[in-house]
Amino acid sequence: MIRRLKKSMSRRSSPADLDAAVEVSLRRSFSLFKGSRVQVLKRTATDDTEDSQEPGPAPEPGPAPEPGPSLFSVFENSTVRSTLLAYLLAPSPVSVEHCVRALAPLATLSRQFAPLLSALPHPVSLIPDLLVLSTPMSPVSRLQLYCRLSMSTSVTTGNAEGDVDDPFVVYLKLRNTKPKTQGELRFFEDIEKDIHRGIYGEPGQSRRLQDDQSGSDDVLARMENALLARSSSQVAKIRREHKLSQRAPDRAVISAPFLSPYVLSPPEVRAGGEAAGCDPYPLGCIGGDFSPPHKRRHSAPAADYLQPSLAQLSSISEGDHDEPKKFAKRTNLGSQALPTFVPAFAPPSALEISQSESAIGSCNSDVHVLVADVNGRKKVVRNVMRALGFRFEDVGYCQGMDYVVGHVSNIAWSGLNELAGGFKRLVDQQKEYVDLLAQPHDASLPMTASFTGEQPSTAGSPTTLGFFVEELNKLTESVSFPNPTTSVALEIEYLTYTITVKLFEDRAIRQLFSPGLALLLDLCTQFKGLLKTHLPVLADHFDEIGLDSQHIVLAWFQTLFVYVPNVPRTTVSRIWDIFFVSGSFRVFHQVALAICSLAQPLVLNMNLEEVFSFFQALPRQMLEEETLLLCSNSMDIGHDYDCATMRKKHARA
Amino acid sequence: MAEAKNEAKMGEESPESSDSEAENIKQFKVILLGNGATGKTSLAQRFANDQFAQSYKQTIGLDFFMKRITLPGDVEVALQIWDIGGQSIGGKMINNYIYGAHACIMCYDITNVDSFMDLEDWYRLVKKSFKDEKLPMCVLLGNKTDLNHMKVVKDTVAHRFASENSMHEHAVSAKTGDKVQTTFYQVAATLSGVLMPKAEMDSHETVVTAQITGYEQHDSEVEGGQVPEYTHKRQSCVLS
Repeated sequence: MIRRLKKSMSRRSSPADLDAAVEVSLRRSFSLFKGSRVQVLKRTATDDTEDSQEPGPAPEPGPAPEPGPSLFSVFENSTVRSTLLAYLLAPSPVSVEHCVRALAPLATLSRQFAPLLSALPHPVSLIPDLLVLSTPMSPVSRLQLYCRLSMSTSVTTGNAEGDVDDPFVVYLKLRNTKPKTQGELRFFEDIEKDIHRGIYGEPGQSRRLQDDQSGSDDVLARMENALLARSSSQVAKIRREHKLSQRAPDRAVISAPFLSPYVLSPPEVRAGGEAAGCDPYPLGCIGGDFSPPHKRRHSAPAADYLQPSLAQLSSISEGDHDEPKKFAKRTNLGSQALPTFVPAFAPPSALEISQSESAIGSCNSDVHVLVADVNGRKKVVRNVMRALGFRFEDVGYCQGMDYVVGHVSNIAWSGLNELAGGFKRLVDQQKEYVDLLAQPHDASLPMTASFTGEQPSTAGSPTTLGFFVEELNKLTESVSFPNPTTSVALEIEYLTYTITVKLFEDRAIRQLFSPGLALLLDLCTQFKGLLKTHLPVLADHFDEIGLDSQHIVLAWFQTLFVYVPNVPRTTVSRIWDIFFVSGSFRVFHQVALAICSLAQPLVLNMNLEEVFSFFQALPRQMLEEETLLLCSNSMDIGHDYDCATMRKKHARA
Repeated sequence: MAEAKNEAKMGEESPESSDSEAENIKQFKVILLGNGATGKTSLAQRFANDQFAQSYKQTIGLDFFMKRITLPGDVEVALQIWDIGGQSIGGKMINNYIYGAHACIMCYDITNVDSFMDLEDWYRLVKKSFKDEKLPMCVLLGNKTDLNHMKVVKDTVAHRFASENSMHEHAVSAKTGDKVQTTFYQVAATLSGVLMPKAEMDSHETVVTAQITGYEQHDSEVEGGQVPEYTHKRQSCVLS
């Protein structure tokens, strides 16, 4: 690896150039946030005492940075804020990769989001719909987008009584409230029923019933614990115990989604992607990839290597974990878009697994992997739903809510997980720098830097690289997670809660669950009309066999399409992206129509029974994101489905 | 309104829907009502497919099952089981589902008082949506008799509720399959006006195998599911 790095460096003429590139881009992004940082700090100071409703002046991009004594001195106080802001405002993907993924301490990340985001210079509304419509987002971008959308307004202003408490504190209060009345007790019990016995928190959350898989959960949990303890020998022991041979694709490792960035992305591929100049997310924080799908599949290393493992997990959760042979097949059919574009998924070879294991085992910087077993995930969903129940007392708990919350929490999990993955990668890269430094100077690899960037003053100092490494070291030491399983889970809870509250308040989901289900009924009636105008033949057929379209679409609408049988998670996420950005139920109608129109040729000669069973087990190919979204985009149904107007209409209670 | 008409039409037609003309099979719409987690889906699955899923899945909206059965005298009937999500459908929406139903099975969980108490509300909903028309056949069904040791709904109370509202009464277990077939056969027979002799009825009963359940003695969430040491046997007891 180091040899290869050396080689690539000598091709680039000097390692300092690389270093310089990093530093230049860091400076560039710091220069952006330096000005706004002060404002952020001021704002947070006032936030605690006064209300934070008024958005405040958008911070100007600061002046060019003074060459301070230390490049990283800005991190002295508010590391999190600075890095995050740098991340959010980063002008180029390079700096995103290098400054933020390296430095963002996840444990305190989300709590700092709110003031930061209100200080953002870009109004959220500027995010063009088209972007979301046309491109899949990385998990991190998605999480960012959702956070931006949900933290910008309602949540930061406290609860309904006009309290201006720290939203996080408010959340904790709600979450820890004990049930007092009979009704409250009952809604707790209902949540328990659905969560405890349900299939909660699987990343590839599927509607299918599962057999008892506590056995494999157990293995998974122990594996994760072992990795947490950073002891490779323990992992190997568990492996041996469960006869998970090194040659066969190791189910436990593969199915642990949180390990995937390490386990599944071999460094060669990463470097290859970077060398080819393909950044995973060229649009930075809200980015996506505009290249055509067949290129995209190969140029997004992080996402690509994350996906198969998630897909596999979902296929596992569908219950055939005893047939590893089916993995590859399922994966190809599964969450990837169109089979022709998809490079066949190769299970990591023994070499890769052992490499990653030893990497984790020997890694002595305090990097924890975001892990939680199924119980941990259930706990997140449960706590969030309790808090929601107390916040929206008219709703309490209604079946179907857990699906929505579950999906939001999955978004949070995978977003933060990818961040952690990037973080880990960077630490690994940094280690390579250290190793390089430790070697005696080589004539072909001059260590003296020659800056060609904005800051030639520091040129020639042999300490530039060393300084960089030193600072990174310091930071990675400080960026430890005192208790990864609890604190990160708490962060995820909070993120989930915040996003869901936004959905409930601004996107009218509250009315979808409040007693009477008026909005739901309204949506179903609307859909019935749409079906009549757009698919008259199918509508007639439904009438003929005595089927009300409501019987089919009700569950889809109520769970925002999470409950659609066999739907891949990626598809749901895409639909949600559009819903969240557009703030209109239009996309749900479109997708429902799309499913119906795709089903039409198959369904037309079926009787009632067959139609029902068809819609209870929709063919997966029909629900692939590309197919479905393409089809739904072509549904021209007007724009009268705005969340805000629907909310007003039904918010008389 | 048009919707209601459609439904009405459907209600009239469904006993002889178009595809059954050739076979002359009567179809009956049977709806399952009751709180969440009382086991409605399990019942329907046990009856239609003779399966029982160990893990619980909530029904959102509607699940639909269909089964053809033969009654004494070679009367063939088809039962459409409409399994309606416990919590996610309520109020106005229910009309749409129960209109045209021939039978209405009200389920409760014998280990959960609330699920029984709430049946009154469910029954009121049914009466409301049928307003002036004749009520469908109503059945009071207590599920989970396999958990008889945890039973909290008293028989006398259930009897009273059933007789007050002139309902048929059954107690079943979807998990073991106990009495499930009998109940549905009984419903089908009553609906089609076929007399079911007792012996005939019992012949549909599946033989229930007794299960020995090894309950987990230690909570998996406590101390990582480790069995505390003091429970291990050190040595065998020696009698001197």
